[in-house]
Amino acid sequence: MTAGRFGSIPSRRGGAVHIVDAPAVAVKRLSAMLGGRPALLDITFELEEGRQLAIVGPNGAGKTTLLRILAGLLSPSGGDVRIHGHGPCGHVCIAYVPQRSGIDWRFPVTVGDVVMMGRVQRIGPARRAGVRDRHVVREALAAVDLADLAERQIEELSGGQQQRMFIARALAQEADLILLDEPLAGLDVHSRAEVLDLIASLRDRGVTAIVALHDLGVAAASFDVILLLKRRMVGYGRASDVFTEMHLREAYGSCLHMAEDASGAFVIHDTACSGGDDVVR
Amino acid sequence: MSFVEWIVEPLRYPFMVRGLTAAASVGGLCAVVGAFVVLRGMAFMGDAIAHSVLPGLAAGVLTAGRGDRRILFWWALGTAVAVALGIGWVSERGRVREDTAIGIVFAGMFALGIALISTVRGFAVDLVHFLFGNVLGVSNGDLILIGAFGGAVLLAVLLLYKELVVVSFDPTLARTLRLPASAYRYLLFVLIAVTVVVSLQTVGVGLMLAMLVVPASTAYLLARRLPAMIAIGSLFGVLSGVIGLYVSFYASVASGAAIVLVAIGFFFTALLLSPRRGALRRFQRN
Repeated sequence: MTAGRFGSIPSRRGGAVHIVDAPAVAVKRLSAMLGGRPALLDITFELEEGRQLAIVGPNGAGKTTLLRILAGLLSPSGGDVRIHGHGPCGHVCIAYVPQRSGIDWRFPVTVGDVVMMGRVQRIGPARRAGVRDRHVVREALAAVDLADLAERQIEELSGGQQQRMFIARALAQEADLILLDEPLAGLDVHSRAEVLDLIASLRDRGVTAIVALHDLGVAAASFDVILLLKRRMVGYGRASDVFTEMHLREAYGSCLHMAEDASGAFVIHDTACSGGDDVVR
Repeated sequence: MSFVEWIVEPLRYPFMVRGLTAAASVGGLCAVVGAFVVLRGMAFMGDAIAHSVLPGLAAGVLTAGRGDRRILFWWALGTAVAVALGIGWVSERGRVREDTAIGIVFAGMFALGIALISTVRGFAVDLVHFLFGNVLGVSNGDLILIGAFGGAVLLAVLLLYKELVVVSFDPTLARTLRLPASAYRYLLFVLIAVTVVVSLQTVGVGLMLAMLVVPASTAYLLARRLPAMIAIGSLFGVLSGVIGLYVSFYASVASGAAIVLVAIGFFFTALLLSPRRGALRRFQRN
């Protein structure tokens, strides 16, 4: 069942109208420069609506850059990006969940306030949140299991709860495409599982998700499609096709430890020692 | 002298009534705009806009003479808005860091202002008024200007509150929601500029920053949500203005300085006693 996202009428104030049958994301020969140096080269892939893509690769591979281009926050230097048939800048249905480290957690807002921010564009200037807005925010909070914490100041949340709050904000935004940048960074095992479950549950809502990850094991276990990135596209497809020894050596060089465990699956550790950090701007 | 007499005595003087009205209005207004200044870490920016007004005032004095203060207001307003937009523009695409750009504009404009004023005979008196304010010299016309422009700033904050909060808290969200984030950022700069000019006569260039930052920071220590922070900040702003002016009246202290010292007193009290972030609370927890 595709549980309709909060009411059946998609009120897309000013957003681009989606072209039916167009893939949720279509990237063609994309390249990008950052600070005069190539950050992404010749990326081409398509992602169907409702599918979940993990972007993996070493530090500095361009994961954040790719997400920011897909969100329309950064312009590519070449190639073409289509979201539901249009360039990303026309859409208000793309939610970008930033790395937690970039947020001022002492800002005097509650969890409910932050989730309501996802609706600011729909409410419009000089207007207050209406009945429907409050309803959508309540449902979004319930969907991520934070309804009880709506009145909490955001500083009082755990890392996992903070991440779930941002996913709730994406739901309140009525996003069709959710981009998450390292949502598991700095979380304990329990919170990671909760956030992963929540991301998986987006499938039922028909939401397309693209997630930048460090953990190759998680990517292989929980995502439909994998994009292995090292400025170029090293591999794209199902985990078994992408995570070959050749691909991994190409992406990570000698910084990768592989070992076969009892069940025959590869256990992979990215020691992340290659190159600088993803540029976050 | 009884307490009531103590309160009523200054009100016999019309200049004190006008001064109190101005100080209270400016105190409240600065705290509202100051909430955004504090949360966005724009204190330096606010200080720079205040100091950059000086060459505008000097140009006003040079062209119109010292007598016509109304002209000075418009000169100050024009300069402040131009500087606010200029800093915004430079920091958006500049090759230097934002605080560096602000520092250069700040120092350059301030020096230019002093240079211009020094060409006027008897400039020291003017300079002191500009630097430290002269709230007891406020006229009815000044009060009308404070009311009109202060009211416009408050109206803008009220109408665009949601958007200003999003742009301040998470600029990336503002951009994915396709809000005109850059326009809102410039708007905030202009609101700060107008607030600075409106408040100039009360506390002067030198202490302007305190009125923008101190009551809002006091409220930051006490409030958990932004609307409460703004309300509490305004309350402390108004109280600082009124109490400061009484202190000034009875202790014969410079009015701007008295107002700021009262505001600072509130801040340290809150720092000590705040239930959420206070030192006493931290001590209890340990």
